[in-house]
Amino acid sequence: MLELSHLCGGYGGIAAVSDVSLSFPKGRFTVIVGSNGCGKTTLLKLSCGQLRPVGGTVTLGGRVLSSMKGKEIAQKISYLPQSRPIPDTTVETLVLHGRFPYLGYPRVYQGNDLRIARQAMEKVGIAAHKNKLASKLSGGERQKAYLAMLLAQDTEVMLLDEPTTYLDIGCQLDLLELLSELGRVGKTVIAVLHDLNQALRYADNIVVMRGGRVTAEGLPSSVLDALEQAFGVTAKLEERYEFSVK
Amino acid sequence: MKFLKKSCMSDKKLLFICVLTLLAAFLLSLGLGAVHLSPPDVLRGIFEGDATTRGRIILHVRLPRSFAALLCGGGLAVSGLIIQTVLANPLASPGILGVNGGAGLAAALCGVILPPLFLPLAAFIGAFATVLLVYAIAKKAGASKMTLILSGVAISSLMTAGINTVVTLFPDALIGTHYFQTGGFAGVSSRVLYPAGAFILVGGLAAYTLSAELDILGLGESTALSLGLNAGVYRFVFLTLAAALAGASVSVAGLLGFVGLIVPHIAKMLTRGSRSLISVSALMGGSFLLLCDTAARTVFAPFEIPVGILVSFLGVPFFLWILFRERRRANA
Repeated sequence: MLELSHLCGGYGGIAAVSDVSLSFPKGRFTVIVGSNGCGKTTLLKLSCGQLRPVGGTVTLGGRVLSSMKGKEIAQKISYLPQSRPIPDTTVETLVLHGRFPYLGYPRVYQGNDLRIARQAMEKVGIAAHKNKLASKLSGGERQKAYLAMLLAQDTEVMLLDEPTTYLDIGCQLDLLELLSELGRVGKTVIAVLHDLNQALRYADNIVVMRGGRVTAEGLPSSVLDALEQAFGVTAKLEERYEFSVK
Repeated sequence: MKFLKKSCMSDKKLLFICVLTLLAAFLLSLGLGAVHLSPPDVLRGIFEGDATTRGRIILHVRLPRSFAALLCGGGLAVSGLIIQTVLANPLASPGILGVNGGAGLAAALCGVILPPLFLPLAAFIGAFATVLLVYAIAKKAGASKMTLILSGVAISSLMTAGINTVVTLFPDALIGTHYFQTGGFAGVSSRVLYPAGAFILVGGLAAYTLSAELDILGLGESTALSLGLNAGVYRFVFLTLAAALAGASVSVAGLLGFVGLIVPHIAKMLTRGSRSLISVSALMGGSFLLLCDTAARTVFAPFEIPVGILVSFLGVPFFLWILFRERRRANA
């Protein structure tokens, strides 16, 4: 279980996140929503130790994250950043890099790593492209390759920063299905999403952020008021066409 | 370049071909010149040593020069690979970013006051200071690749101005030749080659043992951190290695640009992200510079052009090609 307690932090002395206390239980798909610049990305970076908190603590399974080594954290928490350079590698090599936290010296991927990487590629449906260069893929395919890398890392907590960006609607829904399935099989999945309809539909748990603070947290149906305030919109349940995975 | 992308061979085969090419280039470089020697002649010359003219040419002229080209080619290629990867900028190279210039300025200053033994160390210090400056600029520039390249151009000009000042004030200084400013191997001295070679071999070996970490760093800081790699520490280690390799190469070959740009790109196309990227870059860099140097001193015989001129003729179109490829990718 990942727990944040009175967490504060940000860049260059500006607290993008202030006094956030949350707990992310196992086996749940949590979606963080909020307007641009409300501290969602900062919260994810604080939660996986990429950013040192100015105040408060992050604990994973009862242990304080800042006392753990980078490699140990990487075996327990994976993180998909929003933007990345395009690597000069094939899809298979990229996915294999998900096994890096488990490597000893001399850093050579073993048969077991290869097997896990193949399973991950099949799971997200990128196996057919495994020998393609990442620079030759479409944005959506590249996102899938990164997702396979995250699966190969095989961590109990998965953090994803806007994973649906660059994806067409079909791929977006596939991805959300996959994330909620990973939640059902016992992973702690936490994603930042922009599409409120998708967030309300797929998440087990919603966290609403505004100005660096958490204004509401709970089942999708219980956070509608906070959502309206956070985005300055009104929510209305309507009957309409719905796209879903076949 | 299409055929390069399509070729798909195993790592071992690729490494084997690279080693063979390097050996062939080395033999060619020993054999061709003002006096042409066949491969058996070259071998005989090595064993005869100072006893024959043939032996003296091989031992005192060709061997030091070929080793210099091999080592500098490998050193500049690996330095370029590291710089491109760490700064996530395919247009970067030690020449374009002014790292070679920084090494040259430090070497020029050192040439005025210290014996040649210290040249590689001074060049390393100059390269290292410039690399840190470039990195600070890269951090400030953020995602803008072109800002970094343009500041590299500015830094390069500044360093060249510095070198020219030193050469004007001290015309007898060690590096006052125009070979130094264009890059070339005429008049390689073993007094510089030995310490520089040691720098390059140790730096290259260190880079080789850290090749997995370099791959991970190439995925970007955030991804590297999420995979448990201490990105800050390794970035510093790699930039130090890049400076050592470029600095030592510059102390021998002068301001030789473009090797660090061209070779890593071709090596990347051939290896497609496999572990052998550093070895392939080093081997190809050595072969490339050996072949270029051999061509530079034989094609226009009896005239010899500095190899830096030849490399620039090849490097500039290559740079433009990478530039336009990047623009296509950015628009796609």
